[in-house]
Amino acid sequence: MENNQQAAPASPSIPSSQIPRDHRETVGDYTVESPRMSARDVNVHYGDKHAIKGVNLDLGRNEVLAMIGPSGCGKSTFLRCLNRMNDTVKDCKVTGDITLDNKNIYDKKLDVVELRAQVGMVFQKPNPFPKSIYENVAWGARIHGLANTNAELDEIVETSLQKAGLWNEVKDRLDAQGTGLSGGQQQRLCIARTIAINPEVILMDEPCSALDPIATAIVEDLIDELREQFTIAIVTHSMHQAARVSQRTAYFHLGDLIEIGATNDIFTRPRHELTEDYISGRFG
Amino acid sequence: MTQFVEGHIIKRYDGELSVLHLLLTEMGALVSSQVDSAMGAVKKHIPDAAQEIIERDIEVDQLEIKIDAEIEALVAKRTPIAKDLRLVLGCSKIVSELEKIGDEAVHCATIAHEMFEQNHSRLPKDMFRQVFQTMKTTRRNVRDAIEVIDTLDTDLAQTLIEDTREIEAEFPSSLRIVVSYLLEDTRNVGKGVSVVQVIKCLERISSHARTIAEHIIYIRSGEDIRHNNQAIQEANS
Repeated sequence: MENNQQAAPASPSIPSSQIPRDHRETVGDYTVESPRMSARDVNVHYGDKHAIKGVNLDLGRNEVLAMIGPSGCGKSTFLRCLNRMNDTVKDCKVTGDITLDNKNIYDKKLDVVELRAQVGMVFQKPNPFPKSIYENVAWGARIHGLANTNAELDEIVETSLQKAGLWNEVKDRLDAQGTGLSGGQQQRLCIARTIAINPEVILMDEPCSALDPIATAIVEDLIDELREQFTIAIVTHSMHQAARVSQRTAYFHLGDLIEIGATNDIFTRPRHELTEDYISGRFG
Repeated sequence: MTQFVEGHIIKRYDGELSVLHLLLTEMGALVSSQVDSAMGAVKKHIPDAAQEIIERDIEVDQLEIKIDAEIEALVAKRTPIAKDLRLVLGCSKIVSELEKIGDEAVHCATIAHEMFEQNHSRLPKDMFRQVFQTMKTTRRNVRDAIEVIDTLDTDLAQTLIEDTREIEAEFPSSLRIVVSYLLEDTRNVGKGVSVVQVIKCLERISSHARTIAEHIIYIRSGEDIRHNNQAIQEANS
C-alpha cells in the first residue's frame, strides 16, 4: 500500500468515524489540479431507478483511481458513463457534465467512436476477438487509421504488446489465436488492444476478477507501469487490490459518492462510518 | 471496546480481535501488579520481593510472545484494514510498552533489594518523601493505562497524557532534593544514587504509560499524536 502514492493530496487530520452513516454528501476533496476528466452533478436513471445521485469527481493525470463499494452501489454505472457505454442501455438517462480535457463528452456533435478510442475500456472477463494475437492488437489501430504501412502497424503491435507485458510470451506465435492464451494473457492482450489506439484514459471494470492470483499480480504490476502514460480508473471488489494499485480511492454507496481521498488515508483512517464499515468487512 | 471489534461479516474475525484484546488486558493486569509489587519493595524491605518479581517477569515475557504470535496470525489471515488495522498495529506497540514497564518494575525492585542489602535500616523519610509522591503518581498512571487499554476511552487517555507530564516536571525537583541531602552527608552517596535510579525508573514507567495512551488515541481516531506530531506536521506545512 505504501507504493506509488505521490499523486495523492494530504488529508486533514480529522479523526476517523466522525461522519455518521446517514451523511450523504461526499467527504473528501473530489477535485484535482488539471484533471484529465471531470464529472459534475452526474445523475443516472435506469427508468425509475436513481442509480447515480449527483456525483462530482475528477480523474487526475497519470493516476489510478479505484472505485469501490458493495454490489449495486453504482460504481460500474459511473465508470461506464465516462466513455458513454451507457448510451446503448435502454431506459438509461445520464445528466450532468462529464468532460475530457475540458470538452463535454456528451456533446451531440461528438463522435462516440472517437471518444471510446480516447477512453478505452478493459472488462471483467477477457474478451479477445477470435482472431490471431496480431490481429487482436492491430485491429483498432487499423480502423482508426493510426498506421499507414504494414511496418508501422507491426511497430504498434509490438509496442502495445510490450507495454502490456506480453511481447516476450507471444512474439514467436503472433499468428496463434488470441483465445488460445491463458486467462491472464488474454486480459493483457485486451489491455494491449486498448492501448494500441493510444487512449488518454483506460477504464477497467474488475479486470482481475476472472484471473488467478499470479495473473492478477502481473496485471496489477502492469497497471502501475501504465500509469506513467495513461489515466486509469478501476472498479474492483478487492479492497486490497484497490489499496495496492491506486493513488486515490472513491467509495460509492447506493448511488452516492460517500468518500474520496488518498488511498493511504482511506485504508487506514477513513472519515465516513460507511467507508470504515465496508472496507473493514462489516457489511458488503 | 466490544463494539470496536465486533460487526464483521466473518464472525471468527470478531473473535480473534477479542482474544487479542483480552490477552492485552491480561498482560496489562500482570504488569500493573508487578509495578505495585516493585513499589512495595521500595517502600519496605521484603527480602524475596525482587526474586518474585523477576520470576513473574517471565510470565510477562511469555504473554508478549503469545500476543505477538496472535498478531502475526491475524495479519497473515485477515490483512486488517482501517480501524482493525489500527487496532492490530496499536496492540503490537502497546505490548512492547507493557513489556518495558515490566522490565522497569524488575529493575526498580532489584535496586530496592540492593539498597536494603547494603543497609538494613530503612532510609530516611525526608529523602523518600518525594519518591513516595512520584510512586503514587506512577501507580495511578499505570492503572489508568490499563483501564484505557480495557475501555479504549480516549478522554481518559488524554487525561493520562496530561497526568504524566506531572512526573516529567517533578523529576528535576526530586533530583534537587536528593542532591541537597547528599551534600549534607557524603556517606549517603550510595543510597542517593539508588534513589535517583528508582525515580528514573518511575519516570520511565509513566512515560511508557503515556505512550500507551497515545497508541489508544491512534487506535480510536487514527491520529498520531506521538512526539507532538501535529505541531511537527503544521511546521512542515
